[in-house]
Amino acid sequence: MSAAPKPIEAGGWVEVFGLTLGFRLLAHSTELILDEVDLLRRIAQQEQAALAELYDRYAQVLYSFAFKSLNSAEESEEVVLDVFAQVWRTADRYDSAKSQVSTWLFMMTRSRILDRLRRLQRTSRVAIAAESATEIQLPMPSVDPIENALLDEQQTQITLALAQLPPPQRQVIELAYFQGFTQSEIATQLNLSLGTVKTRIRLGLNKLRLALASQVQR
Amino acid sequence: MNNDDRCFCELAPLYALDLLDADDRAWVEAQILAAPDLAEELAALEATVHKLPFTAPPQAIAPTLKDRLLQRLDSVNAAPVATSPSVSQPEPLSPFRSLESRGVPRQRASRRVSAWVCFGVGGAIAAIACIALGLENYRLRQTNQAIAARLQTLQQAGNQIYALQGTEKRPNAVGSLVINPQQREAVILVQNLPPLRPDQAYRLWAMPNGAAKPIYCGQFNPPADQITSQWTLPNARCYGAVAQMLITADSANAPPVPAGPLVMQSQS
Repeated sequence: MSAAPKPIEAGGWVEVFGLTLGFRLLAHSTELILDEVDLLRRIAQQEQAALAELYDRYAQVLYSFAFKSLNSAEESEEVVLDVFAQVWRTADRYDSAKSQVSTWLFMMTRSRILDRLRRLQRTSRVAIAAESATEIQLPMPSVDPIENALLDEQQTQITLALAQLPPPQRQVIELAYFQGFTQSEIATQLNLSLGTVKTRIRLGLNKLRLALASQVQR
Repeated sequence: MNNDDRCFCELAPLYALDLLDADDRAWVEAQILAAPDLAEELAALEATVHKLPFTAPPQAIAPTLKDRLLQRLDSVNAAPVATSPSVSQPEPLSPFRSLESRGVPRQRASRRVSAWVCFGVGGAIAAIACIALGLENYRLRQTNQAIAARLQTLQQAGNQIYALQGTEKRPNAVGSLVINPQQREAVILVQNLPPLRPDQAYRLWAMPNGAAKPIYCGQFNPPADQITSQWTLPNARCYGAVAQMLITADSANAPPVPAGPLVMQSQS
């Protein structure tokens, strides 16, 4: 009996760690989730090889995330270093029941990004214009092809979903998430009423949620 | 805006993007406690938000960054850290063991300086600063020893002990909660939970197994220099078959219904 999980062709929904997944993704996604939880367990035991493996999977995503917000290679590098150093220190506090590893990493990264944005005290932040995803192909570090494909798939899904949003809705969501703007700051930046900002965020995020859900169903 | 004007469907996306003020956040969290289906809806929105980093255009990362990370870890590992053996320690002590290994002593250790070095490099001012640091280190060591001793006395048969961890609102908060059913007493030891205003308090809630709503179990608001709080439990349902203990930041005079943000919770 093969140890590698095989995709199940029939459609359907299953709850795994609180996530609703279609059967076609279930087998590989479950393996990825369990593998990453095991990586955290090993990191908690101070196994540097495990941290290196997690770094290989997520460093570029985290760096790109930081760079989009900070627009500085040096600052973005420091964010990545801080996040993985924090992972090293706090891996034993990670609770797989509360979030995926990627979510945990992104939350730590965003927290660091916002700290740096505040520290830099940018009085005039650049409004992120609606843009389509670029097609940059970068050499990936040595990552298992299956994990790489799954991360790519997640990236593709959300990128496509975001691209389908009307640009005004996408813009306010990006200003809030990547720049840490408050509702009032967004309203001021874009010369909109507070109500309009709230409405665009609500409509945009719900559309994103539904778009992602429909992609998983296919 | 009063409660009647608020709509969960409008506030939930804003909550997921961390755009709400404390009052609206507390309102959303109260709705979630009352209705699990709303919690699912919010979780779906938050899961969507947590995927946004994937949309950042890929950037080339310096190949030397990984080596810098490993060097940083090596320099951290080389520094002496006060840790306890993990095998023989009972699980409920782990927050404070974690604290000792990663929190107060480590931070203070980086500032621990030999008095001889201080005098050597110069000056009465540096020497006074070093003496002050030394006194602070001594005080913190005494505090941690007192905490450990207090925990040991509380580890009696029949006592229920919960390891507490801060939520996103207070990510650095750690603590232990000890419930003595015989004495109907709660003792809580917390670190990195800042004092609230005099009209506010941290409130303890118990979620009994199968319960739909949390049970009020008392409140506390220790000053900055006090780590432990103790009080008589107001409800027998605060001990026994409890699924989870929760701590919110609330108005001290409000009715016993959770309204403020969740700041700590027990680890399952």
